[in-house]
Amino acid sequence: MGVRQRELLMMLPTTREDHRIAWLAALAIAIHILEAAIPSPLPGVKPGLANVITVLVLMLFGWRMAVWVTVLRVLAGSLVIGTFLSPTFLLSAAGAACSLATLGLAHRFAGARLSPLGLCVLAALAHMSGQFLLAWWLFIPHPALLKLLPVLLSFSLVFGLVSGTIAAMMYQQVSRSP
Amino acid sequence: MTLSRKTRHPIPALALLLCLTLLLGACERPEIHRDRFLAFGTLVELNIYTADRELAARASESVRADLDYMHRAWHAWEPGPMGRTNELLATGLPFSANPSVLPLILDAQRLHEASEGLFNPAMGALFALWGFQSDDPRGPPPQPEQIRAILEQMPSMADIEIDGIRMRSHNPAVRLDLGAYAKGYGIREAMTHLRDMGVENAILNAGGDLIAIGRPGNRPWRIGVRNPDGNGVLASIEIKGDEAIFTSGDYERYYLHEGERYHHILDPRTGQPARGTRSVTVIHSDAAEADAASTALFIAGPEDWPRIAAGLGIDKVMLIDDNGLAHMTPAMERRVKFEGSAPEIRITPLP
Amino acid sequence: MMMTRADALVILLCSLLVAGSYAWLWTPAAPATQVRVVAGDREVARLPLDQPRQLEVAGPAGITLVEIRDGAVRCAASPGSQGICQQAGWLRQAGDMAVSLPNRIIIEVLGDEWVFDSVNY
Repeated sequence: MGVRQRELLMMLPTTREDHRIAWLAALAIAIHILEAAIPSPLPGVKPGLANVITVLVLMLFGWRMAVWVTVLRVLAGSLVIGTFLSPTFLLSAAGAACSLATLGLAHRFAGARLSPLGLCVLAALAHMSGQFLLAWWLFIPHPALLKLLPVLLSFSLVFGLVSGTIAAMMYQQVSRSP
Repeated sequence: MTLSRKTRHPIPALALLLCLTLLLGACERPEIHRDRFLAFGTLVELNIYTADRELAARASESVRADLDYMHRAWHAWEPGPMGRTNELLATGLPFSANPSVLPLILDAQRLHEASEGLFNPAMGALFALWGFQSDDPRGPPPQPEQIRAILEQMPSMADIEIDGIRMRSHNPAVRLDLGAYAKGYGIREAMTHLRDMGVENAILNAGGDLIAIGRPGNRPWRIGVRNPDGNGVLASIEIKGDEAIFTSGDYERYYLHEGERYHHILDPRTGQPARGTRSVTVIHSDAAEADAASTALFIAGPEDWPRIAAGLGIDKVMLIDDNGLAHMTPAMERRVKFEGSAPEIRITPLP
Repeated sequence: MMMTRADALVILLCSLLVAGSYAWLWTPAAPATQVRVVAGDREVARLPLDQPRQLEVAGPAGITLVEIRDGAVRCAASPGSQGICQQAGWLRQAGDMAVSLPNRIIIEVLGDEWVFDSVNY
């Protein structure tokens, strides 16, 4: 896929920004696929390391870029795994949309006062809430599912802190060598 | 962090999620299932402590059906086995007793004797004369000569001669009304049926009288005893195993006529509502005997009840007299905890 | 590694949100107290106590009038000659009930928080 994508890019007139998006998206997709292969103890619970990329892109290149990278990640990732347009894909898209919206608002109002750590925590919780709401609305509007939400939110808080720490370290590295 | 594992098959992931969801929702712990309905001419309440909702529902149905069946069989004033028995007793001729009424009549004879005649279900005619057989009893009270006419004939359980299943009455005035016994007998039988169905912890309360088995988890059953003065609770009693609590009170069934209150517990010696007592509460292992005993002790009154209780083999008795004084046996005193202001208490050991 | 003050605030708020979700979703919801009306062998109504309502229930002896007002329910009229059903007054506690034997009607306030498992009378 990577090779074919590069061929495709070479055939079209592309900007420096396009390349950047593509590279970052490729990285995000790789993480996305890797995570899909990790067995999860509880459906819905995953480290969400792809958020690291989204948040870094947001910090370095702005919200518009972050949206592009994420859209590519969700689309391409699902095509690779074979879940395109399946419930899994819809949940992933809903989570990503919710996460992007939150990140956009947070970045706009808090600006540099929020480090990648805070942004990742917000993104993780927003992602989980978004896909939970969709799951509730589309698939299982069972009251007992609501009992699961606090557990899922707890996991996303913890994983948000982990991915946020990773993102903060990477951000320091990147911004030290511009 | 995504809600489903990104596998090639999202269905198993969703199915797993659904299972988890249902598991969280349906993890049934034992709880008290409570049902109320009208049966046996009164309000029946069934509490079952179980994790099996379906068993609780079946148990309710079973109790309802059993009580309906027994009520029809033993109703003294409607066509049925007991009604027919009364017709046949009135003829004075021997007949084969209906098997559903025979054990009750045998028990009633024994209890009649043990209670020195105070428990006398052969005086059904007196009960009907006062109008207490009706669902909605109303006055006026009968004329003294009507009462005297029944008392002079002295219908008694001893007038019934029983030989195997053959039965005859030597007194045409005998008219059986086992209202003071059949309810206790009935809930005992209904509870036995529940136990056979697999119910281990339950309370069956029919019109305020109850039988309990087992206990709800690791605590005892908590029973409130209503104050004969009003709606409040006078005392509480804890039950840890199989026991019955029966109360006979002057407030259960009565009517007012020209400012006078007439209650349904009739003294077979006077033909009048028994005087001196407001209520008698009995705790006993056997519901049917507790039922008959509470009536007999009510009639016995504040002076004679210890002797009658000893004769009936009942050791847990509380009698509230007209002055509000609580007479209790020592065994009862250990079981009763008064709620709020305790009445004046007199402990009387049995002779 | 540096954490800004805004980060700390976000993490704190998110933790509170998670804790709040436990408190909100894991405590059993207290539904509005309900009243159950049974006529004969049939449950004829199950109504919330917080909505005023009048209900006529037919029984073998006539009409029993059930009235719900101000978070309580009462038997406002019933054909029994002694008014035992009406004497029960306003019912509001779980387990409170009014019964008309002649009309075979039970009005009871539902709920789990009973002081006693059963009442002897």
